[in-house]
Amino acid sequence: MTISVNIIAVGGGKGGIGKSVICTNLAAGMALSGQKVILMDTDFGASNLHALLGIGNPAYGFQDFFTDKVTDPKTLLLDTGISNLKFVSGAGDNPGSANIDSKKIGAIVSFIKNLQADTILLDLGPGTNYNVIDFFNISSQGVVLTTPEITSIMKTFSFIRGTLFRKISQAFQNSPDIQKMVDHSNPDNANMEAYTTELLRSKFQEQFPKHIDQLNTLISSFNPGLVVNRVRNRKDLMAGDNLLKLVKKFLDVDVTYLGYIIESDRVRDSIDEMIPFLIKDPQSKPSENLQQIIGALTNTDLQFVKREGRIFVSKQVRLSSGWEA
Amino acid sequence: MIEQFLQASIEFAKEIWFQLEYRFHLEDTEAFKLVEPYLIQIQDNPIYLLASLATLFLVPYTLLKVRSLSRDRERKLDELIEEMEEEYDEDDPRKLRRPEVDDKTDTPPTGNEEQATSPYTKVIDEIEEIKDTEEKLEVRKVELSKSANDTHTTAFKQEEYDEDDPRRLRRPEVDDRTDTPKTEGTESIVSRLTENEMDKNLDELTSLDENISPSFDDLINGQEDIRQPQDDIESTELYEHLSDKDPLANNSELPELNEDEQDKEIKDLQDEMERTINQLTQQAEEPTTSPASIKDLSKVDVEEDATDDNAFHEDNFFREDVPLPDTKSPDTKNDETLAQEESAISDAEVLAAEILATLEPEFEEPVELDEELELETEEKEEQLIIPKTRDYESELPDSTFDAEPEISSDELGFSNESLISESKSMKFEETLDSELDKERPPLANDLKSLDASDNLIDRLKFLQTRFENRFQSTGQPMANASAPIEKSVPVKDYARFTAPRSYSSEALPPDSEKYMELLESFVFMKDQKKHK
Repeated sequence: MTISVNIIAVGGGKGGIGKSVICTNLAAGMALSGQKVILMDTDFGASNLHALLGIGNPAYGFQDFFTDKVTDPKTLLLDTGISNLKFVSGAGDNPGSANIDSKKIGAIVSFIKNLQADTILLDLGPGTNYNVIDFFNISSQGVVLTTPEITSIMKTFSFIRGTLFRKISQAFQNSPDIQKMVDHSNPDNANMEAYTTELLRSKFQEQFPKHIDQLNTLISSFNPGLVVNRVRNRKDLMAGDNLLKLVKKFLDVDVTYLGYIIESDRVRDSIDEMIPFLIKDPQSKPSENLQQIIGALTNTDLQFVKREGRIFVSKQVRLSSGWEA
Repeated sequence: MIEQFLQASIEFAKEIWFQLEYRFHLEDTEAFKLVEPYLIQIQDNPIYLLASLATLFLVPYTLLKVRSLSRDRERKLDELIEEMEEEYDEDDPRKLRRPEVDDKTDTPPTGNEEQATSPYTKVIDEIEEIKDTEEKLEVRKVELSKSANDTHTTAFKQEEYDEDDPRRLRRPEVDDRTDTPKTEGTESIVSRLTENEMDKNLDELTSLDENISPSFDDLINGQEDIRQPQDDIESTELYEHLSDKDPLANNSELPELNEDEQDKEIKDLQDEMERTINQLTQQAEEPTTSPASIKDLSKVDVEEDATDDNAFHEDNFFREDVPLPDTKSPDTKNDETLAQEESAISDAEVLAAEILATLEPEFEEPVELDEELELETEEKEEQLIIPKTRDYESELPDSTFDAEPEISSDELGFSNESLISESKSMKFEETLDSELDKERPPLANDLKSLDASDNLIDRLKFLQTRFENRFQSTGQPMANASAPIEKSVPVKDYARFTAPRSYSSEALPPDSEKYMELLESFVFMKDQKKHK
């Protein structure tokens, strides 16, 4: 299946690390740079992205997608007040709304892939359940967000490993033996010995040697990007570096380091004011950090300048091939 | 308005920054990259901004202020130390002797102010009281002697008097030092006066006076010895004036060969002992503190040797160490010369023994002085030696004493003090014994001199042991004074108690191997050990 749209999923194992905020600002920045962007809140059951955009009482949400209320999916796309940026809200959280079955997930994925936009940004929920991981795996560019705390590093590693193993599992859906090996959701039927890619390779080498190349391809093609949020000093950046080492060591995955966002009260203030900090103050340091991340994601050099309440964007496309899109 | 001003200032700062960036490419430098997050944090938070601005101006000001304050305090401390040193010098018991040496020739007695604060004020007061009583008695004697015939005293009585009365013996010392020809000039007077006899009334008065004089006359003699150099000129003049009237002025030159030989030997021994003590004291303390007065006095004694009697020597020997103040006036001396005419004690040896006996309690005073003197010396040496010991201990790789700066200097100091004091005292004892063994002449025929020297040695040893005990008891009351190894035990205990210093609650640095291991341990289960 050919992906015609650039889907960027922003996820992370731990909650409260700033996924929604970063995702919103990425979307705003990309939209301001001229791309047609759709921002989707896929944190079902705990959605709050609309609040970050200052959209009160959204007309539609994901809950409506599963009802007969919405006949045209395009009606789910809400205006955000930012040019080129549409928004699909996850609002309308009802108790148990987070427990969406795989069919509904499939329907949503299908909906996303059929959207007409340059970039679709998915704000994922926390944790490593399949509802989250599957959205991450449909993305063309996965962005893993972490904070410097060791707990966040651990969770992010688990998220990456779970996402990789889920990807392998989905790639070998027709092989139950491989599923046992890579899908540990049912421990009674699972082979829990392969918990690193090296062990998995050795098992594949022993039991499924003909699939080893496919396995290696899957592993090598899996290269999410990493953003370290709330960085205070160089030591915090070292935590992100440690995560890269850890992922490389046990998963043999090359995680691309996209950049970092420094800890700033301006981010907090922007949340309170329900305005993306990139728009509120594009020349602040967090905004500059975000511009670098956008530049890494889009292979462009962006510079936002705010003059007299208006934002001017300087965009320079990099000639060299940057991050694989 | 303020907002516009702020905006303008910010724009101005920005322009400056852009210009700097354009010219020097500051953002490309490593230093700027290092500082950049902090600058942004400061820029984001007005509190940080204010704090940084305040820091920029306040920190140098504070440093300057603290520096000036510290300078002032150092200056005050120096002043205080100087004052303390001055007080220390004033209180120094050795100082009590120094003015006597310095004032030996021409300085009037000025030591009363210092003596008022010295621990020997009581002794001085007692001496003065006794002296007053004696003056009254002597005034009475003078009155009686005037009524009596001056030339009735016999030569025999004069000799006895000269031998027995230590006050009388002071005069030749003055004579020898100031004007020796005068002694020759007085010989004719003496020879003329030896034929005279004292009046019976004078004898009675002398016998009455004996009951008082042996006790306090010695003290007065001690005062005289100290005061003598200070009143040298005056007393010489007085003596010249009185020599015409005094028939007993030069009776010390009367020939008594046996006693002179004994005196000489005793005095030599005493001088050697004193010299040894002085040398040891000089070795133990700074060279400037050695009392030169003792040497000078001993020299004077040697010169007087031919004319002095036994009692005088022994008395003088003890008095050299007795820092008694100079309270005796020339008038008193004048009266004293008159009183000497009335004193009549026949046996010189008995009197010498009595003098020794009476000086026994007084000898305690120089003992105390030496004690304090040695204590100060020890303290000074400790101050010099303690840092070395600590450095040495800190250099020991496996020692429990090292790297424990929390060990109080007192604790270390105690052990060092005890060690130093012990070794020093042992050295002192050995040196003293060897010196005494070398220089002690075999005077089997003179039991008194031997007794005196033995008494001195015993007393010195006693003082050393007492000093050590006292010093160690003040330094470390619970520790055994003679066990330096045991004294080091508390230091060890203290070092053990300071172990929590090594406790660190800092987080592991993210770039360390331990951090990675910790991270891995959090990620994987215990049985998941198959990975590399």
